[in-house]
Amino acid sequence: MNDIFFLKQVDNSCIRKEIDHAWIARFGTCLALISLFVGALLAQEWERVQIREMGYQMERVRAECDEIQGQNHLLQVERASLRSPQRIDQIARNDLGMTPTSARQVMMLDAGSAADQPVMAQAQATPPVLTSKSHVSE
Amino acid sequence: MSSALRKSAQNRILILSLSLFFWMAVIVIRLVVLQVLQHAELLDRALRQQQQIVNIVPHRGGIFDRNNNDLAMSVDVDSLAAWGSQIKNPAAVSQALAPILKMDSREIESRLASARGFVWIKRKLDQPEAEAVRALNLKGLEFIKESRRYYPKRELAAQVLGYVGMDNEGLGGVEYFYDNKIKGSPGHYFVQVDAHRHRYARQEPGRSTGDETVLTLDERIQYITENALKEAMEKTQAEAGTAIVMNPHTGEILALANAPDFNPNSYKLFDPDSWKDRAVQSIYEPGSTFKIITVAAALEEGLTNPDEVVDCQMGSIVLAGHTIHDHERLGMLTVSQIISKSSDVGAIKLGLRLGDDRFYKYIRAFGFGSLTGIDLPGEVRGIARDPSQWSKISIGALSMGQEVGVTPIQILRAVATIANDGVAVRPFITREIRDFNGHVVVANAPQFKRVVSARTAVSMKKMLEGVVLYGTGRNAKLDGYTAAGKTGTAQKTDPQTGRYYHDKYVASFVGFTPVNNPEIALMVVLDSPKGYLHQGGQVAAPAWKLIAEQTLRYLNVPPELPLMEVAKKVKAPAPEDTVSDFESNDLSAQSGGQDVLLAVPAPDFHVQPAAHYPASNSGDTRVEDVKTFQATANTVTVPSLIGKSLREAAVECREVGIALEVEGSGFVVAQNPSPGALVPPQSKVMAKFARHYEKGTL
Repeated sequence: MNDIFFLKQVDNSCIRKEIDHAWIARFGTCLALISLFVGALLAQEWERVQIREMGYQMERVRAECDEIQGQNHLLQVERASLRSPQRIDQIARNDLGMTPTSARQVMMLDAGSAADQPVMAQAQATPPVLTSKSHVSE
Repeated sequence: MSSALRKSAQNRILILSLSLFFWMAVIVIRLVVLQVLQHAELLDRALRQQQQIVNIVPHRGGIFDRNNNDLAMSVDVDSLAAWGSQIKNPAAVSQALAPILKMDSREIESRLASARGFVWIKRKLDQPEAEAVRALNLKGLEFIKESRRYYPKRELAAQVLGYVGMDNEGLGGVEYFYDNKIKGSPGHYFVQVDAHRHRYARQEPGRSTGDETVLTLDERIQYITENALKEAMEKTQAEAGTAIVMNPHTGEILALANAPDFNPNSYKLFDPDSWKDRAVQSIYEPGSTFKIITVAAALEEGLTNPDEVVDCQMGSIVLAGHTIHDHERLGMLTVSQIISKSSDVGAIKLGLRLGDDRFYKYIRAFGFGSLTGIDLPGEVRGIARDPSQWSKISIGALSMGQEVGVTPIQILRAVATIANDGVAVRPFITREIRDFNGHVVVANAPQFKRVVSARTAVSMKKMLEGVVLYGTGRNAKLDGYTAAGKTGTAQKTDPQTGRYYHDKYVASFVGFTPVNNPEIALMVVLDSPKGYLHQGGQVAAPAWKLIAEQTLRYLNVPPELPLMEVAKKVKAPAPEDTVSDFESNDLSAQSGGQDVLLAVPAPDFHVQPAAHYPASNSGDTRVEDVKTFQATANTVTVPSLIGKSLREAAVECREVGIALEVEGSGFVVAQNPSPGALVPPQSKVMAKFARHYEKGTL
């Protein structure tokens, strides 16, 4: 006995899977949280890298600063040495041919006298002069 | 789905879950082991790997003078160390380092060979040394920063500033006295490092710099003082010397100089004796300067007055069976003249009037036998014995400055008491100490104590002015300023025998200027000046004058007196033409047996008669006004003949065109007129000669 097969055309194109909105919302939330988490991790790591990079820069600047400060201290020592009264005296006497001031070369000014006071510019109390361009308001 | 398929799927899920669980369990267990069980060990290892400990080098605070000029400062320098285990060829390394470090190569090699770990090679290198070693680029060497003390003014105020040791500890002077404040605090901080040992983070360290010290010294007055002292030392060939300048109203030390000096940058190269601050650490018998105390005490007790005439018994007095001789035969003297002529007999008589207990009370009141309180290390009290330990002759010896041990600062303080109208001040050398931010943490303020009345002090001022005007301190007479002071010449004691040396003296001059409103009190002490000139008035007074004049000018103190004109040397006539008759000159005034004034007022000053002081007297007790004459082309300056032979003196006189009158034989021990006096050409100068030194007067 022969089997008889019938070809039946089945068209499922009109079948649509039901959209699970709740699942999409959970998935979206989860994805967002994961993205946020990963983003935060990346941001933190980026920050750490930046901090470390800044640290390297700061250390370089600090080392440079220490070096400059050391040079500054050495220059201060040199300046103080150059300002030594002994050295100045020797240069004045030997190189410039100077001699100590005698008492007669020094004139003391009387601090109390008015003539020695500094002269200040004095404001003159002069009457106002009206010109053609003057505006007189009442 | 069939049940078999479902079961298979469940088995796979179970296996996966178990695997995950096992994997997680392993991780958790491992974490527990690492984080809990091995926590301390791993933390320690991590810190070692990721952190470096950096030691903070404490910086000593700077030292400044009163005008904030740097006197001592600290700088970071490199010290060279090595890790012995990392140096493969110590011989080659030491050969390379030795010429740069100026060290023996065998010494370096032995250091490198003896240590497997850390070893210092040389500490606190100079900059060129460090750069040269760095250029060698040798493996196993390490540079470590250390702080090094610099004294940029070198010898200036060396004994006051002191010096520091290799580990920056203060070893002398202010560096030692205020070491706790100056030295700063050592410490350390942590630095984060990566796998390549590069630093990338750190804990910010606090300040490690010590406090800054501002002294009362003025570096220019200090230089003036040191220069004058050095000059005096060269002239007199003295063994040591001290000079102190002080503000008598506040006790601030403006200058404190010692000779011989040293460079504190390399103090080890100098004789340790030069490190000593003699102003506060050396004791000597003051001699005649102590008569100030004797007379001031007698005046204060109302036992005498400046005009009382005392019989000085022609320079001799017997005390408890001992005869004490004066340096010259002096008869009737006023108390003022006892001071100006420095009569020992007169001082002894005043001391006897005081009696042991009263005299001792004033000795202590003036601060002898106790510390002045100056903020310098090693100050000694001196020796002022209790009257119960005195012999019968002690009061006589004390009256003229023997049997008492003082420091220069004590004598200066006593004279400053007179200058300050009877009120003693505590000398101090540190004005203030301030922290790194400039806040004052210690401030020294003047401390006062009345010792004698203002009336006594004023009387003493006038008497001490007489010493400079017509007494033993004429060489301290200032150009343009009044001055008061007292000379002192004390024999030194031989520490071996306990007896006085016959040829070793301590010469001193102590005083203040101007007299009425003193700006400075000043003392010069010369220990064992050599040659004929050894008295305080001869060797210490000129240095005193030099310091005082320059200091007053520097301080802008206006002159009170007419300035003197510098004498011009004139070409002298031929010796054979000289006329040794003083009367034959037609000068407007002459000065008989007395010195003429050393100089004359400058023409642009109106000279008041009261400003003319007698320059000397001829041995009698009268104080006579000496007229002046104008310095003209017809005046010559009397040369110093002291210490010269007859031939040398004659040549010297011939050169300037004056006649020489001779008394005795040997070498000149005294002359009249004094050196530097202006006299008419062809005048005669009387010179007293002696084979051995005796205190000559004319």
